[in-house]
Amino acid sequence: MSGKHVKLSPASWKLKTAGILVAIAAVFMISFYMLDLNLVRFVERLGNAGRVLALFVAFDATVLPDAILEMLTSLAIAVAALAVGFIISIALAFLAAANTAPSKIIASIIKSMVAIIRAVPSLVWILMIVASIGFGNTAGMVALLLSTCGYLVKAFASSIEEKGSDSIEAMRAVGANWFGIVLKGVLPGVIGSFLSWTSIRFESNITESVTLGMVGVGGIGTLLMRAISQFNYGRIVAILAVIVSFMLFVELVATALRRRINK
Amino acid sequence: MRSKPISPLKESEESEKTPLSNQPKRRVVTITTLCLAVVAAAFIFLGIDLWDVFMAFPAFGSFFVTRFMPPNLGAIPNNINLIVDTIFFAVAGTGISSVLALACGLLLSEKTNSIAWLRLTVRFTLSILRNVPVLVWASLLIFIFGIGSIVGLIAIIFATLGFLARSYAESMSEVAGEKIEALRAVGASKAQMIFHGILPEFIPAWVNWTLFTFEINLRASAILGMVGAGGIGIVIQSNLRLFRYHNALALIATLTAMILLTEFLTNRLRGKVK
Repeated sequence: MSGKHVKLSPASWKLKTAGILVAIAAVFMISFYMLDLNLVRFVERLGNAGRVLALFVAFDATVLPDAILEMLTSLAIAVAALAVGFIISIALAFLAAANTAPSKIIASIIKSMVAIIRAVPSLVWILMIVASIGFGNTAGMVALLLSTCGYLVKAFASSIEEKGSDSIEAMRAVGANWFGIVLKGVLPGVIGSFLSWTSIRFESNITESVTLGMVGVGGIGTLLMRAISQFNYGRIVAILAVIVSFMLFVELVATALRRRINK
Repeated sequence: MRSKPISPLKESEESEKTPLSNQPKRRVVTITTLCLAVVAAAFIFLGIDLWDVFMAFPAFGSFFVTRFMPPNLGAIPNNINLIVDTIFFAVAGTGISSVLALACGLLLSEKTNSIAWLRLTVRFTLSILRNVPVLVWASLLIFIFGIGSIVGLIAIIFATLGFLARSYAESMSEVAGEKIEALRAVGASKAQMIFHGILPEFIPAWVNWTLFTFEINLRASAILGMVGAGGIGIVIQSNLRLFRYHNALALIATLTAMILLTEFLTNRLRGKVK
């Protein structure tokens, strides 16, 4: 490093990146300013943090059996929705991907519906679904199924499109029909990335399933909200411990699975 | 290297090998059977009838058409500032956590931090941050900060930080390859390696990951209001609870349109960074 500057990146690229970074920073500053946050109160309350955290040094083990049972319910809703969503998404993705879609109209209908499903937060979906079909595990599963499909269809379709259409053209040329092309020509090549996407979605499904419980659908979220509204600190901590340890376990399993799939 | 987009999902590597035995096939059958068993157990445990699930869709559809339609556009002007706030929350939360996550990412990656115990401590803290859902963080932070916007912002930062730091660290380890070796060979210091070797290469990944979490945070900030953490969520929820479906639909539609618009813009931006 004798003062000679070695250019590691091309200047034009640097300029463009710098421009984008400045723009992002500006948007951030405006947003922060517009939120009108009460920073004085924030600092004041931060002083209380120690006292509040001291309240949370408690553990009510009696709630554990209930918590584990409810956590299993949350987990089961996530798994059930993921499984059904996986199958539906494969079918819809092949109908929606540009290179395998049998009809452009159907493809764009599916793609725009999926975009709308993704744009509405799942908690808003669940409130609308609960309003129409009532509370219960079925409502939770319907809501999770919607967001699972919203995510997986888009991911699967982009995996199929990345695959390119060379082999599809070739198979079409030798006279294979649509099902033949999809099942024999495309699916074997993309199933690995499908499973990868699904394992990523599995983690979000559990998070969402826990969250859905917080608006009263069932599962551990309901139990947690009840403990929070009763200021029952020991219970809150015990329930949180159950949630976090289950989620950590699932994360480990999902990571291990992904490594297997990618091998 | 730079022109390659770094997608949130790592491409599964194609194995070109021709299977010589049916060993892998047997493994696939075992795993599939196992998965099916788990799914079946889940359905039995929940007591859900799949038929009911599918019948719920037409029921929801007809309810939606008869009770939610048409949206009451009159509800929008009073709440438009809350909907815009939703976007500000997501931007501010994502911005703050991306800066914090950059620091945590540097602490997390083996390439930049060689102190093992510090790496482990950071990893453990971040995985707890990541594994508690954002709505849970919000409802816990209310104990400290009381009901208000600041809770929503901190909850978003907490939930995002864990995810972003991990992704950043992975991307940093990926880009830190030959260049680091070259810099080390000419005797560059640790700081020089980070600033000249890793960070410039890492910027595209940094922008991509940040935009990706921004989209998640956009939805998260819309629901935080449901536990009293500010934003439009509480208004949508109370409209639904009070059976004012036409009002709720107007707000949901506006929110959706705004989310779609923001995503369109971030996608354009993402295309530019590539």
